[in-house]
Amino acid sequence: MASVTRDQFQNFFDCCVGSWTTERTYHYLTQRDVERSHTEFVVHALEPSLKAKVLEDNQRPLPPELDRLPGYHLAFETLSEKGEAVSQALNMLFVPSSEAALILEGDYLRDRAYEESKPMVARFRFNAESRELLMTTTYTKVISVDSITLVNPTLRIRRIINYQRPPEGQPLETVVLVGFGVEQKKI
Amino acid sequence: MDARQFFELSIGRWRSQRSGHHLAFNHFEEARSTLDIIALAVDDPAVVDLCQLHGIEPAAVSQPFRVDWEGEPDSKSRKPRGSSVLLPIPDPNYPAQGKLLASPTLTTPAATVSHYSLGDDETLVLSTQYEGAVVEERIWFASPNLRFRVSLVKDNGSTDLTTALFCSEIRALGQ
Repeated sequence: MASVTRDQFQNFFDCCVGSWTTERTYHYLTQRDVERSHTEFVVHALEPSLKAKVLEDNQRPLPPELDRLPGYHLAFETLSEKGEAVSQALNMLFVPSSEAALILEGDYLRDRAYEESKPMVARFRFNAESRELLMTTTYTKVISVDSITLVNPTLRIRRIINYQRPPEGQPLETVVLVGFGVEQKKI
Repeated sequence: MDARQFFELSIGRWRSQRSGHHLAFNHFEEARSTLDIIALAVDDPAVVDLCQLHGIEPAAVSQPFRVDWEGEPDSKSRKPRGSSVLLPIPDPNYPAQGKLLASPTLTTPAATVSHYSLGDDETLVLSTQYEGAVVEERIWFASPNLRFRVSLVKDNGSTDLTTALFCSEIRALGQ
């Protein structure tokens, strides 16, 4: 169903398509140390057959509105200041399930997650007012809260906070990693 | 948590680690500092003076405080330091938002008036209009002893970002 929030959601992703560079810093809180990294990444829209594959990989049924769901391919290469290089490519799909007052929530599916290389269903929350996409992934040992705020069509602010995974039903308390990045689109 | 509790929780000594991205100059900086956030009484002379400067009654202030900060110097510079008195003035109709008055500092010679708003996610958003620039700051607690701040500096009337800062702040316990 069309709405201002869903239009904003799609507009957010339309802006994300393209080639980007990221300068990121990780704060190691106990050591009071900072590590920098540089990432180049590319985002492009998925064809319907690949969106269906993401659903299939995550054992989810095909929804009737599949064509309209935001689905993207992401490929990135990261080089840390210590010289460590990491590259990965994955497909992702966003399946909204509820909408209220400029907030859209739902499932965020990937065929391969960052921390664990296997299909993964996470949750997302999009705020159409602040243009912030918040993605919360529960891994085996950590819970990763990843925020992307679109400041303007060519600039995103990234915040990643990884918490030690607490026992079921307990609040997130112990922060194990904090990342902050400025992401600029290559024009 | 309400706005007053947010300011109260900020009282204490914090070890701050800052990453700064200066986009306009393609420059990155790292800095460490110690912040001492000290509660003040509403009849503290510094509070009364700042109230007079802004023409407000001290009774309108909720949890005044002073921030003293001292940076760790790099090999070439002296130890940078500064201090500012801050006065939260809650909006009587909407207590989750209000004004934050700040006394002049060495880097900001004029007293400033920021607007604050505490969201449902317990993030305090501070907006400050300077001559030529707008600063939006988001501050939140990951736990009572861990605070984060993101500051975005934009040119006035523009969505172009000139600076993005991230600070992680750990409460110094037992001091």
